[in-house]
Amino acid sequence: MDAAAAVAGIVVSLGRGVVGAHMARVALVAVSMLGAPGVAIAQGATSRAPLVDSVVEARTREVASTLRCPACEDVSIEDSPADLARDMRQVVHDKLAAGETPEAVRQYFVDRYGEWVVLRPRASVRTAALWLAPLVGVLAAGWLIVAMLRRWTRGGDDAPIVAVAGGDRGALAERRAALVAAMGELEADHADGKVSAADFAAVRGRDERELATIDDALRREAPSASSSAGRSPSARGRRASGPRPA
Amino acid sequence: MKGVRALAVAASVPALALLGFGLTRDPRMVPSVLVGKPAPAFALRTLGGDSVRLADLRGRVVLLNFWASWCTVCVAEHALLVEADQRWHDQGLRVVGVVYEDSAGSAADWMRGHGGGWPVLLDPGSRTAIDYGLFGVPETFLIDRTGRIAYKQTGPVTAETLESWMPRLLSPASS
Repeated sequence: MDAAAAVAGIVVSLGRGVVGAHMARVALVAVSMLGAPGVAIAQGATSRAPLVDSVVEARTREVASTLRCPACEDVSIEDSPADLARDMRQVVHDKLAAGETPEAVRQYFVDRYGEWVVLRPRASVRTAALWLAPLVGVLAAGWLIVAMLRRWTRGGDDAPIVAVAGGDRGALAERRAALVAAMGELEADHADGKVSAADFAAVRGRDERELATIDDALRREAPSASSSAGRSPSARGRRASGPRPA
Repeated sequence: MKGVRALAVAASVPALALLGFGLTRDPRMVPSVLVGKPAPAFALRTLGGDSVRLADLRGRVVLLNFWASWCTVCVAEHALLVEADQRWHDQGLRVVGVVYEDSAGSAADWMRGHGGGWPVLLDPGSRTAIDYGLFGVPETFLIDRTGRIAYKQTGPVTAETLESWMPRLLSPASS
């Protein structure tokens, strides 16, 4: 930091002597970003008299560049050519010159124009949602991407989707019943002409492969119970063996 | 995967609702943070050179109108202010104009041309305008008898606004 301040100090003196006022201004802003100690060191290297003035100037630019111009909205009062922005810069300057802290000056404007006037909203309980929303958005988007990638890499069209593979029998049976119902619907839709022959064949094929996988799983888990499962959905069998209404 | 999809839908519904709501709002209309707070004090000179302090108007209802001679919508508004001044002056209304980003000469010409006998104040460096959080002209502040800002009008004052606020502010009960 000291080295940076010293470099900035050299730039300040160079700017004054050779390059001109604009360069000095840029350098001063750079120095002000390093904080007050840096300014003191840099200024010590040049002259003593303009210290207060140039610090106030630099601080004015620093504060003014954080305040939104009420007349033009999307630029700071530092960057705005509007009369009101010019007057506001003067107010900032005078308050800083009178010894007010940059934060107090900012607060003066917030008290009159609301939080709106601060270009970069400060982090507080009231603005927490504002600051956290993008973070939540990024996390949610990342999670969604990971979830979708995982889904895509798990298998393409040919791989039957058995979400409950390795799961319990109840879940498998449920999935099987749903699948059989869906296949029935598909058949009806096809008969009504709502589904094209190609679509019907593709979906039907995929459903049949999944059905076979489920039946395999059911057989493996309890060979004796589901050996007769063959073509009849197990849900139907379960219903038949359940308590009958009187 | 069903869960992912449901969650994505569930999350996007309120987000879209918020966006839709935002589109119905005018981003230029920033509610004033000053309403309900004590009106910032000022001591300014009129076009005629007299000194006017807000503190001197304590006990009156003050209609503080920021305007400029270059402001076109201020013309129509001015007629309304002339009417309000005549109608409510005896009940304690004091109209005070503050000239914004304008020269004393053109402001004086304008007042001569459009009428209105109330004090019109010059605001060097827009100090008072900034103290009132001004965005532009016209803007009008209604200050009650205790010196609090009761209402702020961004843009020209309307007859409806005056009709609804004046009786309330001027009634002896509110003093």
